[in-house]
This record gives sequence, C-alpha cells and structure tokens, in this order.
Amino acid sequence: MSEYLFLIPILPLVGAIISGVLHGMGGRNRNLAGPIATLAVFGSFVVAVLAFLEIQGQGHGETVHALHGEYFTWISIGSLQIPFALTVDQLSGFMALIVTGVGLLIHIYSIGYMSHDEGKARFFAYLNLFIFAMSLLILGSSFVLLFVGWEGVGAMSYLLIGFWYDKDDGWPAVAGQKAFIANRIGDLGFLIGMFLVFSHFGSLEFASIQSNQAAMGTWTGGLALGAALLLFLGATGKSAQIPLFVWLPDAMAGPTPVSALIHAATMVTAGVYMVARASFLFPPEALMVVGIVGGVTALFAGTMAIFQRELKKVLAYSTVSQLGYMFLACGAGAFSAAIFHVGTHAFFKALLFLGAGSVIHGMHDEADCFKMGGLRKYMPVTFLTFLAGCLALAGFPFTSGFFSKDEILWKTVEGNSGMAWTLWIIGIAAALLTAIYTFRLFTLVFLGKERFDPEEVKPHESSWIMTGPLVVLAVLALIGGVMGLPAWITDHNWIHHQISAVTTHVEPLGGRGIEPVDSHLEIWFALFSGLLAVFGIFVGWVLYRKGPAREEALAERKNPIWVLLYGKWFVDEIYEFFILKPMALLSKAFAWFDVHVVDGLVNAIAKSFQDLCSLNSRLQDGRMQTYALWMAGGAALALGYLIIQLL
Amino acid sequence: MNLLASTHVPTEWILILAALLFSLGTLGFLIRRNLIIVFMSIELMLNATNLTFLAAARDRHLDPDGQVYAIIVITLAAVEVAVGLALLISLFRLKVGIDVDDAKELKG
Amino acid sequence: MELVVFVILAIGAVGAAINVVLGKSPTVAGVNLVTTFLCLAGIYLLIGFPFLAALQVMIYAGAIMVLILFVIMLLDLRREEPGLQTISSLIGPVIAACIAAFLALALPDYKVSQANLPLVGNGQSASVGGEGLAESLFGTNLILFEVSSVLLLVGIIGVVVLASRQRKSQTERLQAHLLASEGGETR
Repeated sequence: MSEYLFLIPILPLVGAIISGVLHGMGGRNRNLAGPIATLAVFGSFVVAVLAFLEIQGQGHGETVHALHGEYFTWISIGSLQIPFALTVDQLSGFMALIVTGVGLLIHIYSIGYMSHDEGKARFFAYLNLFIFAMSLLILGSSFVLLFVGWEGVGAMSYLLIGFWYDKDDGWPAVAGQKAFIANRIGDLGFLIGMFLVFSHFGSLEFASIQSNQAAMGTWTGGLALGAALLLFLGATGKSAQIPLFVWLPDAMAGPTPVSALIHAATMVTAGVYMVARASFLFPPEALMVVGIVGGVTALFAGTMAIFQRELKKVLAYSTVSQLGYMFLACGAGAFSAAIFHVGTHAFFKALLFLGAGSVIHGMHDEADCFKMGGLRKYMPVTFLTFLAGCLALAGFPFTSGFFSKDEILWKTVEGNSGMAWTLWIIGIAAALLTAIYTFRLFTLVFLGKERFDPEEVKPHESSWIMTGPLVVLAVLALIGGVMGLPAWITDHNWIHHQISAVTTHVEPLGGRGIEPVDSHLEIWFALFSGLLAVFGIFVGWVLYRKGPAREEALAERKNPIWVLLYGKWFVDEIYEFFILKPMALLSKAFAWFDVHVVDGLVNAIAKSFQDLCSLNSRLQDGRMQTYALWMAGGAALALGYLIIQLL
Repeated sequence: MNLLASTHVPTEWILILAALLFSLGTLGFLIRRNLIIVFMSIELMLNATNLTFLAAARDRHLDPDGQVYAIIVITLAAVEVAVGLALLISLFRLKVGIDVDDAKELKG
Repeated sequence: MELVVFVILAIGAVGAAINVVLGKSPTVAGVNLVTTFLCLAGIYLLIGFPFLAALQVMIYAGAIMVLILFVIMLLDLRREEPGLQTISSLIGPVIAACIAAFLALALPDYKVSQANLPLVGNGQSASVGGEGLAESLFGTNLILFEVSSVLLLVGIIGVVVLASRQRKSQTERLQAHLLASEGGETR
C-alpha cells in the first residue's frame, strides 16, 4: 500500500487539470467537471481508507504504525536532504479520512450548488487543487512538504474566496487578499521556526528529528520556546486565532461549499494538525501559550458571534471559537482531544455551512437572518439536518460535539492548577455563549413566523444532490461521538488510542507536583457542561422565538455592549489604524524610492548609452567625404602605428 | 634574359615616387568634390600600389608573382571603375547632382 | 642613362598627377591622368616588366580612361565650381601629408625577402616573361585568378543592373523620394 499513497494527492491534481481543461473548452463541457472532480476525491478517499485500515491491521498497542512512501529526492543541497515522502500514521491517516471524506461530500453538494454558475469548472479545479495541497500538508513526512501544502491551501483559499471576483465591486477579491496577507504573516513565523528547527536538528523530516535523541536533549530554553512560538504564529494565521483571525469572517465572501470545506472542516484545522504533529518540539511553556491563546480566542470569538446578522458570519466566528477549543486542548497536552474535536467539528460545521448555503440558495441569496423565519415549513430536510448540526455545535448531550468538547474541557481542568481552572472557566463561558448564539441563529431562521413575504421570495428546498450530503453529515454529527467515548462510559477511547500513539505525552496544565482532579469526577463535569448546553439552547430559543425585535431595540438604542460586540470589538479598525495605515505610508515611501532612485539610476544609465549612441549617429551624416576622411584618417593612424613600431 | 631590366635605378627612388603618387591620390580623394575627379584619384592610388609591388618584385629577382599581383590589381580597378561609373550614371539620371554632397541617402 | 629616363618619367608622372588632383576641369584631369599612366608604363618597362607595361597602356589608358572620358562627355560635366570650405579641405591635406611622411619614414627599413627562384646568369630569374608569368598566374596564384574572374563577372552583372533603363514610373518614384527627402535639408 505504501507505494500507492501518492494517489491521495495526485488523483485530485489530475482532476484539477482535467477540470481546468474543461473550463477552457467552455460550453456544455464544463458540466463534466463536477462529476470528474468528485470521482477524483472519491478515489483519494478510497485510498485513504485502505491505508488507514492497513495501519490498523498492523496491530494494537501504543506505538506508531505507519505507511511510508518515499518517491524521489526532491531537494538535495549539502546536508539538507528532503525526499518527497508521504507518511500515513494514525494521526495523518485520520486527518486524511476527514479531509477526503468530508471533501467528497462537499464536492457532491457543490455539483448542485454551482450548477447555475458559469465558472463551475474553474471552481472544481480549485477545489481539487485544494484537496491536493491539503493532502500534501497532512501526509508530508517533513516540515518542507507540510509547508508546501500549507502554502498551497493558502493559495487555493485565496482563489476560492475571490471566486466571484467581479461581484460586489470586487469585494471578494479584497477578502481573498486579506486572507492571503494574514496567512503570510503567520507563514513568516512558520518559516523562521522551521529554520530554527533545521539549524538545531540538521534535518526537517519529522521522523529523523524525533528520533534524534541527542539533539532533542538540548532542545531547550529560548531556542525551543522561540521556535515553537514562531511555528504557532503560523498556526494562528492558518487557523484563525488571535491575532490573525481577522480574515476568516471576511472569507465568507466565497461560495458556501468553500466556507464549508476550507474554512470549517479542513484548512483551518491545519494549524491544529501541525501543532499535534510537531508536538514533540513544543516545550511546556509554549504549550501553555498555545492553550491560553486558544481559550481566549474561543471566548472572544464567541462574543462576536452573538449579534451577527449574516448567517455565514455567525458560523465563521463560531469556527474561530471552536478552533480556539482545539488549541486549548493542545495546550493541555490533550492532542487526541484536539484531533477528536477536529473530526467532530468537521462534521457539524461543514453541515451547518452547507445547510446555510441551502438556506441562502433557497431564499434567493438572502443572508440576513433577521429577514428569515419559519423556514422549517419550506425546507424540511435542511431544517432537520441544520438542527442536528446546531445540537452538535452547542454540545447537546450525546452528540458528537458534546463528547469532543467535553473531553477538551475535562483535560483542561484535569491539571487542577490555577491556570487549568481559569482556562476551564473561560471554556465553559464560551460553551454557554456557543449554545446561545447557535440557537439564536436556529430560531431566527427556522422557527417562528416568517419575516418576509413568502409570495415574493418563494423559498424552496434544495435538490437531493445538495440535501444528500446534509443528511450524511447530520448522521455523523449525531453519532460521531462514538469515536472518542470518554472514560466514564468505556475504557476504550478509540481516538485517544490512535492519536496518543503519535503525539507527545505532556503534563496537563499546571505542570508537575499538582494532584490531578480525581478521574471519577469526570462524569460530573460532563453532566455540568451538558446541562449548561441545554440551558444555553433554551435561552437562545426563548429570547428569539418571537423574532429579533428585542435585539433590534438594542441596536436602535445603540446599547454600548451591542455596539462593541456587533462591531466585533473593532479589531479590524484597530489593525487598520495602527498597522495598515503606517505600512501603506511606508510602502508609498519605498515606492517613491523605487521609481525615482532605483529606476532613475537604471534609466540614467540607459539614457547615457542612448546619448552616446546618438552622438555616434551624428557622425553618420551621409556625406561621402566625411566617411572618406574617417577612412583615410584611420588608415593613416594604422600606418603611423606600424611605422613607429619599426623605428 | 631581360635586357631592359635596369638595375641602375635604385629601388628607393621608385618607392619615393610611389609614395608621392599615393599621397597625391589621397589628397585628391579627400579634397575634391567632383565625383569623377575622386574616381581618378582612386586610380592614382591604385597605380601607386602597383608600382610598389613591381619595385619589390624586381628586388626579388623579377619574381613573376609581383606581376600577377599587379595584373589582378588592374583587373580590380577596371571592375571598380565600371561599377562606380554605373552608379554615377544612375545618380545623374535621377536628377541628383554629381557633387559629393548630393548623395546623402546613407545618413543616419 | 636609365636614371635620367627614370627621372624624366617620374617628373612627368608626378606633374600630371598634381594636375589631376588640383585641376579644375574634369576633361583636363582625365587627359592628365592618361599622361600619368603612360609615364608609369614607361617606368614599368624600365624596371623589367614589359608585359605589364603593355597591359597598363591597354587597359588603364586604353579602356578605363576611355570609359571615364566617355562618361565625362556624356554627362557633360563642367568645371567644378569653387565650393564651400568643408572640413575635408582642411583635414584632407593634413592626412595626406601624414601618410606621405609615414611612408617616407618607413623607407630606410625597406627590405625584401628572397624568393627561391632558379636564377640565371645576370641575377634574374630563369623563367621570366611568358613562361614565368603563366606558371605563377595559373599555378601558385590560380585561386586569385579564378576569384578575380568571378569578380569581373559580378561586376558586369552589377553594372548592367545598375545602368539598365528603369521603367518611367519607377524612375519617377525614386526621383520623388530622393528629392522629397532632401526637401528640408540645406545644401
């Protein structure tokens, strides 16, 4: 099987090329792109499944089982040897299943969603390219290949956000640029971190770094902390944490399947994957920072989600918040919990986005939830699947989201230190907010009375090709929890066994010396968060079941809290003022320098040559006598030279 | 045996003559504005070189190669005159003058 | 004795040459040039190349000068008008003087390498005259000979093309083009 691993990235690449060609061919040919692209991803999914099964078959135990396919030496410069090699171990295999599986469902959905769009073939080409890059990211056996995929998904994200580049005065293109630039800042950190790793270990391959005992021993202090934090900076860019999360809400300008696939299920989780993969490089202090950033982001984003009106914006902030949970888990050393949440989040968030797409599509491009209501009558399937997603997101007991979020919260508090408890409280608060805003959204969209004219808008349910994936994802969102059942249900937490084989063992938050919370108390914590979720759901429903009137009143009165939260804590404005404007001025200065000094120099040199030449051409006056003079003069000189030599 | 081959004329004198003729030819070539006269100066120069060749050949015991070179030079001169005069006639026919300043097409 | 003849011929040649270069009328210049050629032919004879002397008279004086004089008559060229003092008339003499000077300076270093020719009696080469010439022309210098014949051919073709009568329209077009391009220029 190891020889066939390359198919996982290559099949979508081929699909992308074919889609590109179909796009160029135009006309009815473009309709073929969707099925072909979907088939390509299906192929990748099959290979991923087979690979994963094979490593399962390699036996149980706490060791790493891996399939390693090395194809050719890509870079060979002195001591830097980078082979093009793909590794499927428990971690990357699981991620591959999520990426290709959810990706497959979203491709199917897109066939329906993009059916009326002229650029559909281009869309599928980009989507397939994305899967290609993402699989390189997760299957790469070295930092370099991971980074290649990292950049690739960033590029595809840019292209897909700005897919409708001529809509809305070019706003999607601007949003794409914002995403790309924010990512770039993170990537700088990532690169420097990589350089530091290489300078210490002399290699960038995960396996060789991890097995290098001697170098691991000296990987301490400022070097390790700095490198880890720099790598994490990259993760904050890609996974939209503080301080680089600002691009994700604006990324909603792209088509909904894009939001579902890239900005919910897969690309944004790349940061989490990277931290898990490189966990052995993170000293405890760095992990603490990771955890804090994650927790704070979770709460912060949750507050921003609560007053948003656009359907997708709410989900976007929710994604930022949930990603914060994943990093919180990493900070607590519970990498398997983080990856578990990656999986469940992929299910329910993709579901929610796709459902939102279905709603927006059915409402003829209306995205303001204040203008909806009572849609459960018109879109029953969407209604039910969306409900499933909301329940999972809010953490309703026994949904997948409940188990994964709970695992994270438990692992956070388990350390029993001051930091652990603080973060747990932050996490709980965020969970409450999540439940509230989730069901605010649900109530406003699907319940109550219609706040629009049904005759005019005529909402309709989407076709089966769009609702089919919704159903599948809904089922997964509800029962997906079986992947990681907690200790109070069963001894065998499947995903914990899988992932912890690969990742490092870290002391829970707070470090050594502190007695962890008694594990028998876990079920009580679970109970607490379950009740909290139900409470939040109830609050959300009660406050909004009669419509958004109360919130509108708050808005009218310019209630300060409302202003702050609706204005997203004015982060964008702060960045604009303190960072972007000075940068723009600096750029203008550099541009002036470039045009006047650098170009000026080059132009001056060119002009001097030109002047020299025109001087020369003035010698060619066309008169025979002048030429004769020059000839004779030259001959005389030559003669003179020869003669002088003789003398 | 060539009875006329005089060895009493010192080669230096012949060379001086040739140099003089050559300089005169150059002078005419550079100074004159009438194209025909320029042609004639060129012929003068060619003859001077012929003389030089022959003087050298005489010193090499009447080397026939010298004669051959001189013959070739004469041939060349003939061709050159023919082509040059043809050009001249064309210029004249096109109502452009014969003055050296009139043919300025190659300006640039 | 030969010396005297030589000097006479030399003076004749130089004098005629000066007339060619400095004279005003083309016709006079042409005749003077013929004189130069004839004097030179005499000198060639004196030196020991009778064949070449004959050639000189026949071709140079007989063909080339005839051609030139013919063209002069055909085009009815008049005396040259005294023109503007151009740069050439200032620098020209200088350059010519320089060339003369350099050549004069080189004179003392004149030497000639000796050929491997079979000699005879009074120090002349054994095969002189027709035989020697033929051997040299068609033997050692065959390529030179062939190339010069090709050159002649090309020259003839060129002349024919150049001087051929063009269609009236072409001539007019060319004329117009030439005159137009001179429109803005000062003479």
